[in-house]
Amino acid sequence: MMRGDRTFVQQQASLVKSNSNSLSAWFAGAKVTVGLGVLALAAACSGIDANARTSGEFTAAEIEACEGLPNLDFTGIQDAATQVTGARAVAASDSMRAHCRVAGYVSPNVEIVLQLPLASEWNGKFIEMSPGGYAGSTEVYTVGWCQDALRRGYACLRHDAGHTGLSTKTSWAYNNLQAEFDYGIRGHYVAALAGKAIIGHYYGSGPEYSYHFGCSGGGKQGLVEAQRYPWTFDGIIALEPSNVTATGVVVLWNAIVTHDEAGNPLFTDTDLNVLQDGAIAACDADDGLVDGIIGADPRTCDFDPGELLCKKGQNSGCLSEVQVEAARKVYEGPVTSDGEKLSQYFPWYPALPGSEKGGYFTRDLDYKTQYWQFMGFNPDPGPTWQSSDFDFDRDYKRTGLMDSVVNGSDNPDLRNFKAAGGKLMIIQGWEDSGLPGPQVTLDYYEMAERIMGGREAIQESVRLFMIPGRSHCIAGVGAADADFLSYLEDWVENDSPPDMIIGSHVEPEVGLYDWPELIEALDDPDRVKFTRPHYPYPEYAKYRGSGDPNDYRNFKAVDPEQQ
Amino acid sequence: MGMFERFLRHPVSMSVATGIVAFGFSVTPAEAAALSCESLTEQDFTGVVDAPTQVTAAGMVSASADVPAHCLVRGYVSPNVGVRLHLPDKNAWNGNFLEASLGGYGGSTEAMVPWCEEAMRRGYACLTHDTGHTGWNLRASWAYNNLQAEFDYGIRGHYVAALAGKALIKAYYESAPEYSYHVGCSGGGKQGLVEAQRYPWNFDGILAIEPSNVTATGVVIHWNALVTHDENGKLLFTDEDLDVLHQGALDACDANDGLKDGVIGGDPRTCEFDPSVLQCKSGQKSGCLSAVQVDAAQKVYEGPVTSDGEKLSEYYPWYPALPGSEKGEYFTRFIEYKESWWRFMGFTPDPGPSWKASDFDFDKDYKRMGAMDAIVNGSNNPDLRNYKKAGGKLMIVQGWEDSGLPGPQVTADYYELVERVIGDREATQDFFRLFMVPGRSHCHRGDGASSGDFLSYLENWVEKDEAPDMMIGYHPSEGDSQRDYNSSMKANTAVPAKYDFSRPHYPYPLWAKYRGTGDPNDYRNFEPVDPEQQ
Repeated sequence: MMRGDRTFVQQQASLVKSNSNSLSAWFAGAKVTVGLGVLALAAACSGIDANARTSGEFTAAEIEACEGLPNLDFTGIQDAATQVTGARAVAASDSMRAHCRVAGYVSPNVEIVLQLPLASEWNGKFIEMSPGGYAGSTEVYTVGWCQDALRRGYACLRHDAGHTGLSTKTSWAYNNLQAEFDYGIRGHYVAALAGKAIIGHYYGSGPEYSYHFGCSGGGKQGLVEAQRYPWTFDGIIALEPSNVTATGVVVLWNAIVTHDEAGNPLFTDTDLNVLQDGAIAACDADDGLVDGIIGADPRTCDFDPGELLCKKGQNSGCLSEVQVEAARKVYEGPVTSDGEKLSQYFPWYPALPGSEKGGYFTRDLDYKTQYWQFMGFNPDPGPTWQSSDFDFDRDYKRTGLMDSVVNGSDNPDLRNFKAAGGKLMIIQGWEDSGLPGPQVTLDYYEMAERIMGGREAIQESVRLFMIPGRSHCIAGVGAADADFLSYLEDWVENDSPPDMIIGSHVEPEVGLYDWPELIEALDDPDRVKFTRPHYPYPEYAKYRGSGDPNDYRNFKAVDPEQQ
Repeated sequence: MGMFERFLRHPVSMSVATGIVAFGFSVTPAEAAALSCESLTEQDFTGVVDAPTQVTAAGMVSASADVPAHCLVRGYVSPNVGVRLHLPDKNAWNGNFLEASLGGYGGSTEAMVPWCEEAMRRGYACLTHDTGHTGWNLRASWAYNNLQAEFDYGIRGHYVAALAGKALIKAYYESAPEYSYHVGCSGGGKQGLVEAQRYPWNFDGILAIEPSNVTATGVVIHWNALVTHDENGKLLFTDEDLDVLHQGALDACDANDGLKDGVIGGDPRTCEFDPSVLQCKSGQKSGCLSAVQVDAAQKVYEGPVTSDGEKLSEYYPWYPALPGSEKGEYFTRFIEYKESWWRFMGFTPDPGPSWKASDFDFDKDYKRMGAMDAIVNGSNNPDLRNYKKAGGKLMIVQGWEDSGLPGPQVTADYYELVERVIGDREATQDFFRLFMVPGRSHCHRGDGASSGDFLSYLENWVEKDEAPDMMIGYHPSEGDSQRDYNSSMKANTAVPAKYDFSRPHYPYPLWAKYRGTGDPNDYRNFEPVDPEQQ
C-alpha cells in the first residue's frame, strides 16, 4: 500500500480513541469485512510497496563506484576515523535487494557493514541497526533487519559495538576499557558518523532522515543516542531497552533463587506453566477480558503464588512450598540479608507476574556470571569469579562505576533530544521474558515526563508503548508485533504521531532472526490470529465488552490517571 | 558463612591479620589496633575491593602552630590514582572521614593540603588525591588519548580514593569512620555530584562548591574569550572598561533585592541589563563603552550562537554568564585553559597540540561532546533518588557571580531537574539543598557575603538532623586571610575573623531581601522571598 493510503489509514485508526463510531462507519462504507479490514490495516502497517520487493540491476558505473570504495580515504571522518576493508556489488536475489555491501571499521575497532541500495531504489534515508546482548558481530539478527530495511529502500548499517565476540559472552571486555566504552557509549555513535559520511559520498547527498533501531542492548544504545547525541538521529525505536546494571543483579538473583544448592532448577516446565497460569488467572481480567494475556498494568495485580500450594494429596497442577517460596523471591526481587529490598532503588526492579516462562525468570545464570567476571566490576575479577560470589548485601553498591561506561542510559533529561526535533518510540513488553525491563523502562519514562513538564510535553517527542504479553524483543502471548518503523516514519516525516499502534499476534511464532518473515506475516491473514490496539503509556487498552475480542477495534483506551 | 570464608572475601582483613602474626606480636585484639604509622607501608592493601592500593610512604608529622600531629600516608590506587591521607592521633580523631577533591584538571595531591589541614583542625582523617594522573592543574596533555586517565579523572578517581581511605582508616584506628564527607570546589564539586549520582552509599554528606560542568564550560568560556578579543587576540576591554560594564550591570539590577549595596541579590537571571545603555555618546570619552565593546558584552550575556543565529542556550548545559560577573576571569579570559581541554580531552580521538582555539566550530562542535561528557564530566544525571534513600545529604554552594562561568545557570537548572525527578521541593530539600550566593566568585571571594562555615551546616544536618534552613554568609574585611586566592577551604569552613557585612542565604529558590529598615550589614535585617509565591 502506498504511503498516502497508509497515512489515511492511520489517521482513521487514531479516531478509535476519540470517535469510534466514525471509524466503524468508515469501515462499513468501505464494505470490508471486519477480518479483512484488520488485515488490510496490518498490510498498511508494513509500509512496503509489494511491487517493489524485487529490484533492478547494477550498472557498470555503479559497480565500479561500489567496489572502488576501499581505495578511498575515510580516515578523515570527524570523530570516526574509518577504513573500508571491502565493498562488492551484490545482485538482487529472492530475499535481498541489489545493494553495495561495504565492510569496514571505525578506529580502533568498531566493525561496520553498510548496505547501500541502488541509487534508483534508495529512499534517501539511513537506518542503523544496533545489536543487543554483548554484541560482538555484525552477523547477528541485524542481518535480517537490514534485509527488511533494504526492501524499504534504506541504506542500512549494522555494527559489532566495538569488539569481536559471542553475544552471550564477555571476555572481550576483560579490563578493556576502550572496548567497554565503545560497547556502551561510543560504538553506535561513530558507526552512524561513518555510515552517514559514506552515504553522502556514495550517493552524492543525504541522508535526508536517519533512524536508529535496536532491541535490548540495541534499544539501550537508542536511549544513549537520545541522551548523548540528540542531533544524530531523527527517529529512534528502542525495543525493550536493557539496563545491564539492573539485569546484572536481578537476573542473577532470579537464577539463584530458582535453583537449589546443587544448581538444579526448582521448577520443571510443567511447574512454570502452573505458576504462569496462576498469575494469569489472578490478573487476566483486569483489562475486561479473559484472554490469557495480562492486559492492564501488572504492577497493580495482586498475585500470591501461595494460592498454588499443593493441598494434601494433590500431586499435580500445584506447587511445593519450596517452589512457592522461590516464586515469591522472584516477584519480590533481590533482598539483602537484613531484609532490605533492592527494589526500592533504581534500577533493581523485579520481574512481573505473567513472565514466569521467560528465559530470565529462572535461567541465564551464565549470561550474568559473564557480566560480573569481565564487565560489571573494575578491575574485573576475571574467570575465577563465580555466581555464588555475588554479595547481595554489598555488590549492588559497586555498580555505579562501570554503569557509566557500559550502561550509560539512565539519564532522564531528554530535553535536548526534543529541542533538536527528535522522535523516540520505546516499545516495551510487559512480559519481557522475566527481565526487570518493564519497570525500569516505565520508571525511566516517568522521570523523563516529569523533567519535560508533563505528558503532553513529552509525547511531542517521546512515546512509550507498553505491550501486554510481549516477550523480549519479539512475540509472546499478546498482540506483540507490529511494523513499528512505519509508525515512526510517519511521525518523523509526516508529523503524524502514533496515537495508537495496532499489534498483531502472529502464529507460528517468528524468531528475532527472521524479521523479514515477521513483517510479511503481519500481512498474512492466516498468520495474524488477533489484533489489539496499543496506546501511548500510561493509557492501556480495555475490551469494550462486546464485539469480536480478536479485533482491535473492540477495545478502547483507558487513562489510569483519569480513573 | 564461616570466619575463614569471610576473611577470604575481605582480603584486607586477612592480610592485616597475617601481617600481625608474621611479626610475631603476641597481642590482644585491642592492642592489635595500635598499628604504628610507619608500619602501614608493610601492610598489603592490594585486596581493597575495587581499589587495589599501595602505600608508598607513611610517617608521623609533628604538630605545628596550626596543624595537629598526624600520620601522613602517601600511596596510590591502581593504576595511578595518587592519594595522600592525613590521620590525626587517635585521641584527636573525631571518628570521621573527609575527602577533599581537587578541581581544575586535577593532577596533584599537594594542591588540597590546605583543605586537609583545615579538616584536621576539626579532627577529621582527611584524604586528598590527584584524580588519577600527575599534571599541572591548568593543562590537560596527560589526557591525550588516555582513556583510563580520563575515566579516573571524571568518574573513578575520587571513588576509589575513598575506598582506599576508608580501608586505611580502618587499619590504622581499627575502626571504620562513623561519618564520611566529600568536599570540593569546581571540578572537585563536580566529583561530589558524581558521588551522589553514582555512589550514593559512599558519603553521608557532600559539600559541592560551584560544581563545574566541563561540557558547559568548554563551549561557553571559549565563546566568552573569543568574542571579547579582537582578531589579533587582543582583549577588547581594559580593566577600567570592565569596571564600567560591571557598574552598568549593578545600576540595572543591584536594587532587585531591595538594597543598593554593590551586589546583585535576588535572581540575576531576571535582571534586564542592556549594555548598549553604556555606549559612549558623541564626545564622551570615559565611563562608557565603544560600539564594539557593547556588541562583545551582548554576545557574552547571550551566550554562544551559531552562524544561523541559533542560541546554544536553548540546550542544556550551554548557559551564558550572568550580569554581575563582568570582572570574573571567565567572562573574558582563560582561553588557554579551554584550548587545552579541546586538544586533549573534549573530543575522541583528541586532535592534539596542533588544534587551535580558532578551530572550534560553534555550528557543529557542541554536538560532538556526548561521548567524552560520559567520561570526563558525567555529572548531569538528575536522578538522585538513590542518594536520598541511602540517607545522604547534599549541599551545593553556588555563587551567582562565579567569575563569569556558566555554573550558576547550570547548577540552578540541575537542581530544578532534581526537584522534578524527586517530586517536589519539600521531598528534595529533605536531602538536597542548593544555596545560591549573590556576588560570590568561583569557590569563594567576590563582593558578596561569600564566606562562612558551610561545612558545619552540613555536619549538623548529617549528624544532628538539623537541616540548614538558613546559612549566614560574611564578607571578609580588607586584609582578612579569607580574601586570599588560596584560602578557599577556610572561606567555606570558617567565619572570617573580620568582616564588613553578613547576609542570610536560603535554600534555593528562596532569596534574601532587605526588610527596608535596620542595619543592612546585619543578616538579621533580611527576610526570605519565595519567587514561586510572588
